[in-house]
Amino acid sequence: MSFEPYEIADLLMMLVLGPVTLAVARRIAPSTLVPVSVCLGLVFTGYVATILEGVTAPLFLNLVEHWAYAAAGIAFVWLLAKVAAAIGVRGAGRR
Amino acid sequence: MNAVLAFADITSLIAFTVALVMTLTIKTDSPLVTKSVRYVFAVAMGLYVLVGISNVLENTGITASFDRYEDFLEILFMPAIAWTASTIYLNSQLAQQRSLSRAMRSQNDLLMNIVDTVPGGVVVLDAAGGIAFANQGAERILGLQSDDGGSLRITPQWRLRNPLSGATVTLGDIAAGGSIERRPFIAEWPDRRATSLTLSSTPMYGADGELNGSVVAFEDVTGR
Repeated sequence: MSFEPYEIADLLMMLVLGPVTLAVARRIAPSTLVPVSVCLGLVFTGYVATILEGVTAPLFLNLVEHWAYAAAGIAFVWLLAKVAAAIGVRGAGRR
Repeated sequence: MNAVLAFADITSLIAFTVALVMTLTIKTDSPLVTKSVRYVFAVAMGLYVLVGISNVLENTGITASFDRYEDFLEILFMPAIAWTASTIYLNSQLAQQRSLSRAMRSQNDLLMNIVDTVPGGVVVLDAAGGIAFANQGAERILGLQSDDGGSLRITPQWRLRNPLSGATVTLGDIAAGGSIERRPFIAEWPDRRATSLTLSSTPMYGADGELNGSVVAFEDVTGR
C-alpha cells in the first residue's frame, strides 16, 4: 500500500472545492450543473483511482485513471461548447 | 496494455488542448467572462494538457521523468476551477446590479420628465415643511433655487398668506394640515409683488402610518 501525499491533497481539494463549485454553477445557470458535475465527477474518479491503485488492482485502476482524465477532457470540451452557446459567441473565426 | 493507456492519454491530451484553445479563443461580449476568468480557466485546462503530455511520454516509452510533477500540477486544478466559477457568479451579480441601476435611472429620468412637463408647480414637503423636491414649474412660480448640494432652499423673504383670513401660512402648516383642495393663497414678495396661487395638498403617510410630508400642487392664477 503506497500513497503519494499530493494524491491525497488533490482528492481533498476536490472534496472541499468540488461541492462549492457545483453550488456556484447551479446559481449561475442551472443548465450547466450536469456538464460541470460530469467534468468534476470524472476528474474525481481519476483522483480516487490514482489513490486506490496503490492499494488494489493497480493495472485496472491505472486504466480507469487515464480513461477518466480522457473522458474529463471531452466533458470539458462539451461544457465549453454549452457555455459558449449560452453566452452567445460573437464573430467566431472572424476579425 | 500500454497501447490502451497511450490511447487514453492521447485522447486526454487532444481533448484538453481543444478545451484550452476554446477557452482562449471563444469571442463573447458577455460581461461574465472577463480576461481573468478566461486565463485562470485556461490555466486549469493547461495543467491537464501538461499532465497529458507527461502521460503520453511515459506510456509511449519515451520518458517517465515528468510523472512525479503531475500531482503537483493537479493540486492547482480545483482552486482554479472554483475561482473561475465564483468569479463568474460575482460578475453575474454585478451585471444584474448594473442592469437594475440602469433601469432605475431610466425610470427616474422618465418620472422627472413627466413631473417637469406639468405646467403647474409640484413640491414635496417633508414632515417639518421643508421642501424635499420641486419641479421646474414650482421653481419658476415660487422662485425656488437648488443650492450646490442639490437640496432646495426658499427665497428668504417670501411668505404665503391666506387671502380669506389674512393669516400668514408656513409650509410647515401646509405639511401638517391634512388635505387641501384648490384653496387660494397669495405668495408675497418683499418688493410688494404678489403671486396668486390655487393650491392643493395631500399628506403622505409611511408604512407605519406616520406623516412623512405632503405633495403640494399649485398654479399661478395671478390676473385671472
